[in-house]
Amino acid sequence: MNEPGDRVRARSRREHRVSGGALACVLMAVTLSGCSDALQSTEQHRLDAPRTVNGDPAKGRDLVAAVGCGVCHTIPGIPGATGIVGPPLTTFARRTYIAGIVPNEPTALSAWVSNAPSLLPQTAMPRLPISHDDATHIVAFLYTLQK
Amino acid sequence: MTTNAQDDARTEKPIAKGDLPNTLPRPEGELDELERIWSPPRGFHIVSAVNNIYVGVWYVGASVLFFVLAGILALLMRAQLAMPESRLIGHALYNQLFTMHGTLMMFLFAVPAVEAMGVYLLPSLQAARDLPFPRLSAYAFWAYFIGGLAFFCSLFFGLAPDGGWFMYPPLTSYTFSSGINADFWLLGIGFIEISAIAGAIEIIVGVLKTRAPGQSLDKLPVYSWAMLIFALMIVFAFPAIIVATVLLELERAFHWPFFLAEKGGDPLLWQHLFWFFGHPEVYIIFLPAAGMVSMIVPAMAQTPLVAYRLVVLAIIGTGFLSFGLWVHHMFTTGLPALSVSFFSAASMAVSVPSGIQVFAWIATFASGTLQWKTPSYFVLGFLFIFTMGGLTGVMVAMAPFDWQAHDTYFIVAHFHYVLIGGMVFPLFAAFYYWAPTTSHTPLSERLGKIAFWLMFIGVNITFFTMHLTGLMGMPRRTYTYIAAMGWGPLNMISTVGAFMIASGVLVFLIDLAKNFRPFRAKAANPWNAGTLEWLPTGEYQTRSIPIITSREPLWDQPNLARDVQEGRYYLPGAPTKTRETIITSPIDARPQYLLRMPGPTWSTVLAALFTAAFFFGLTIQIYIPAFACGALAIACVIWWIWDTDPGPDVPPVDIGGGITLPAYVTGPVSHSWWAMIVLILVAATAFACLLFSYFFLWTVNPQLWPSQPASFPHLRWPAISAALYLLSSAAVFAAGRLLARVPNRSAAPAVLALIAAILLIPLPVVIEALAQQSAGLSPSTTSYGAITYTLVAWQGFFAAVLMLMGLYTIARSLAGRLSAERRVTFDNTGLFWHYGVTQGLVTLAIVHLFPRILG
Amino acid sequence: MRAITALTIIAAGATLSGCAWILPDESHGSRPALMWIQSILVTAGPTGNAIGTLSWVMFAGAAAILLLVVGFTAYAIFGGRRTWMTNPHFVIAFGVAMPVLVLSILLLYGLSLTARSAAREQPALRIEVVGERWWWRVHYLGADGAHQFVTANEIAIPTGVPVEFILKTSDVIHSFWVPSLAGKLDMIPGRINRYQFSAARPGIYRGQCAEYCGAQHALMAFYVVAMEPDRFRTWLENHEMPASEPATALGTKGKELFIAAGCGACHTIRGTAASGLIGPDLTHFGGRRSVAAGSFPNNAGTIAGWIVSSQHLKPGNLMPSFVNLRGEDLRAVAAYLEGLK
Repeated sequence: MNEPGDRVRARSRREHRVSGGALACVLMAVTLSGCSDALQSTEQHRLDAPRTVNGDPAKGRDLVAAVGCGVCHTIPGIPGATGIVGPPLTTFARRTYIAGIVPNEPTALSAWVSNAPSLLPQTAMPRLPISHDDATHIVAFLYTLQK
Repeated sequence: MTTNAQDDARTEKPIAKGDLPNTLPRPEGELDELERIWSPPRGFHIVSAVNNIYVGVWYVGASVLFFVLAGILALLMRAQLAMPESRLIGHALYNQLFTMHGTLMMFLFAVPAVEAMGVYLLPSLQAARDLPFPRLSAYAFWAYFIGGLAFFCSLFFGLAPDGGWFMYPPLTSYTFSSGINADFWLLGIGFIEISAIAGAIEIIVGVLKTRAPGQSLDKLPVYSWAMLIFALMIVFAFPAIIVATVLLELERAFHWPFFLAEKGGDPLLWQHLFWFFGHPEVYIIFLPAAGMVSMIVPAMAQTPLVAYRLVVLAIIGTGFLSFGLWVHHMFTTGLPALSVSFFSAASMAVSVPSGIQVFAWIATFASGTLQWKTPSYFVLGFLFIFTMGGLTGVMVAMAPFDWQAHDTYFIVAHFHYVLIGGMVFPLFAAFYYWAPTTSHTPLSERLGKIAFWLMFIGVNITFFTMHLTGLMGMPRRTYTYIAAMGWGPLNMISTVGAFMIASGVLVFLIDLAKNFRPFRAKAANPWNAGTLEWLPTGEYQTRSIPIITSREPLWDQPNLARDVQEGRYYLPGAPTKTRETIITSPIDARPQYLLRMPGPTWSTVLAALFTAAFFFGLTIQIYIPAFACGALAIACVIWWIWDTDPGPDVPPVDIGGGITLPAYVTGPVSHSWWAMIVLILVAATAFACLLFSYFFLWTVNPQLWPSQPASFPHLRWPAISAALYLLSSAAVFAAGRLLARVPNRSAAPAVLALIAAILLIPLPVVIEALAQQSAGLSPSTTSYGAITYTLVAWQGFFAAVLMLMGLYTIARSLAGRLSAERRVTFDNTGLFWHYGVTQGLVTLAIVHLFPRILG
Repeated sequence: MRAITALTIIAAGATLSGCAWILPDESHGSRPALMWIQSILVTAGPTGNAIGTLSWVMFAGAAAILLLVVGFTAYAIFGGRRTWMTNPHFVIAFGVAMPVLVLSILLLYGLSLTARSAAREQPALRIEVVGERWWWRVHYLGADGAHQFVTANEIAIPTGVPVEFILKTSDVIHSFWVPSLAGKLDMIPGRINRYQFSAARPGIYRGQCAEYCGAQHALMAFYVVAMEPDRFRTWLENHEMPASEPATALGTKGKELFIAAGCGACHTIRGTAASGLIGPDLTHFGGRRSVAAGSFPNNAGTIAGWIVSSQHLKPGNLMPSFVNLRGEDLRAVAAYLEGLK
């Protein structure tokens, strides 16, 4: 194994937690710290309900593969999507907040996918060359990630 | 001393039909004594057994073990490749896996497996009691088994080689492979080379000299022919890989540049040496398997092989042609179009001998009636798969197609078809066919057929798909691939197929566990085969050694089995109270003398253990224990050979039929002389490969060769060296003459002459090294220096071996085991001595005269 | 033969030979987006086409011979009267005469193809490609053979004219291979191999290293982009120029960060202080189709991901994972590089 690489990677994870997601952490902590189990399960129930999204999840999946989202994210169902730069998108459909700042709902997510900095200027996730329609398909795909 | 003329006179008596050599009833206790003499030790000491039936079965078993282990590595790789961009196995492990898979399959499964089958089968096919050097076979097995296991274990420590089984430098040299992983490959296969060559010497002498009387070359079983050519090919091919590994290890350990372009080396030198070995290697694996098929097909079809002579010619032709093909592995290196065309044509030509064999088998099927038994299934599966592999082989022999297909999955598909078809299926056919010669229950027909179908379908699913994967552009030796390339589904299919093959092998292993009970009384001749291995046997193999008048004696010679069993043929007992077999003449198989063979010993096992320890000590850089083990290995070898030159202490023996054979001979009739000649061939081939390397490096970088006479050592140094060489040879020659007077006169003069020779032989090497050093030549600066010092060092190695042999010969003399009559040890030392001196003189001529001619 | 090739491709349901990991707006519905752009059978140049035709001839011949052998075997085993099969003449006819005849014809065909491939014309363009572990350094040469400019992992060529590739390596043996256009040729230390071929039609063709070269041999690919001569001239003129200035404020910030972070120690961006020679030249990086030698599509997202986790994505490569950039700074650098068209 390549030790320098490993060390660098380990550092990358650590720093990421501290700096990149600092805001997210704070918000998450605030939101979740008071949650009781009961509350959580109601929340869960609301999020599990199918969201009405016009996009085609299969198309969205292809787009996620074609754009290369997996370079930064771990995404179930996308070969090679084992990125460690951003948060894993496993169970993304049940995620409460996008990047810990805006509630996870289709319009916001669509905007986030194509132009994350417009919602959170400090983010490391760049603006991506994804059209509005494509973003809708990607959102549809992301909402299939239940487990 | 026995001469040829005497021999011929003695065996002049014609072999009469119907008139059996020995009469009944046989003396009481004769059979019991024979059984007792040949019985291996019992209990834990069974390990020290040297009987070919024991060593052969263990040897085959070990090769199956490595087949399974290498197969498991393949399954891990297939699991990784089943999905695109999979992270199941990282690149580091994957690269070790494919390197080890190839290395294990080629060096630890295929070659040993066919060699092992030879050790097991040849004596019984030729009605000999054992191979001529039983302890050598045992050593070959143990060195292979112990060393192979240790080599495999490098995987568990992440130290397994990861440069590919072809180990191309400069990737595998010290810059890009700085760990000891590559050393594991280089030193790790060192003992496998030793083991293969030891086995080859055994098999050549065995096929040529230990046959049933009357089993002349035109009645020799095709399998024996195949094994003879196989072993000769090892003799000429393996030295190339030995030289290649020595050079690469010198480069890695001491930075002597042979393959580093910036210092005048050339990576292509490795490729030439590697493939000069590597291509014949494919036929080394295939020929014995084809030989097996030529035995199984007639038996299963109940009719003699059609076109026996053509098949034998095809085997010999394959042997020759296979040495002219190696460049077809290098079509993409940018060779001149002319040489590409030549090797393209030669590569196509080699398919003709295979065509002959395939159609001879088809013709044999047509002339008989096939028994639908498991061996037939595997043989038919072999025909199909091998033909497919041969056809894609013709495709890749076409250089333009190879430029595309080379190093893609198309090639992976091609050679798996060739090797699985050409070697694994015949071997499985052989397991099912010959299991009854040692196991009292045959293997299961039901499980055998299940195993066959799983393997046959699995192979085609796995590897047919790979042709397509390759045509779609997927390169070999890649641990992952981009999902978008669309290779995922094809790879998934291949993975499913691979697990299917594995399940077939598993069924076979279950069959073995349930039914295979080796070394028991064997089942009768279940296939009604016609060849000698189906004679009734005991620990002594054949009760009496028959006269052969046909290629299928059991079909053509009525009552043969009964007469052999009753002891009516030659040598029905053990007249000298030791293990014996009849040595016959190489062409027409006339009895020449009685070979008395050594029995069980721990020396070979320990010698193998210490040899392996020596190599592994060197690899993991614990030098003192390593050299201690090396010394112990040499000591064990001396212990082992000490008893093998028994001398003429037994009077000539009557083996029946009026034939009286001497129980000890020397000179060119002796099996030992033949073995030494083969060993010298090995040494000479290795030396030729070194000279090839010298001239190859010169053609690549002639400017590195000195042109100023001032930069050479003065000519007086090589002149002195040459004189010393000649003096040492003369001393050995004189010792031979003086020995002729022993024991009538003192042995002291002969011993003194030998001591002189021993003292003289290292001097030229020392002089040469000092002369080059004082001329300012450094081995690590340029390829010229590296190869020049390598030639000197090579000669130094020979000087050391000769000194050891000389000291051993002196020890024999001091122990009273050397005389005018009992002189095989001395003759062997002498032969090798004169060879070593010749090699030294050639080295001097090349090193000193060649650059001067250029200048 | 061309017809069979075409049919096969259609049958395989992939008429995609012209597309790569193209940006999302171009790639609807084509999941294995790179399928068939690295294939021996879907070719787009005379050399590749000739080998493709040879392949189909041999596949057909091999299928016929395989059927013959299987047929003979079945007939030998199950057939009725077959005495003609049981003598050596049968073996000589089919084991010797037939192979010699078939192989001689094939050999003549193959030799003529070999000779044609070896023929050299005056090339319209010379490109020197140097294999590196694990990427490709690409020098465009002038008429005098001098280096004009350098790029990496993507080779633009004009269609319809012979292009000569001068193949070298800086470390171990690699093999240069663009199956759609021609066969492979090794890059061997101490040797220079020359290869000439042309593309008949515009398109994107993928190449990949075909000689095992160590840890990341699997991730060492590149693109050949064949374009009409006019477009190629524009491309060439653009690439001869130094890097463009960033068009956005973010890009300008990214440029400053790129220099400040020391990226220039390994990478060159002509027109800036960055002049390192260890890694790929990035002067026109934004115009390339892939990141990390054909491993990932090229956009601001993948560039950013590569910069911070290159050792995770392609372990063992020479570029360290740059983990000391704040999120918005990383975006800025990515935006700058993406803008280098």
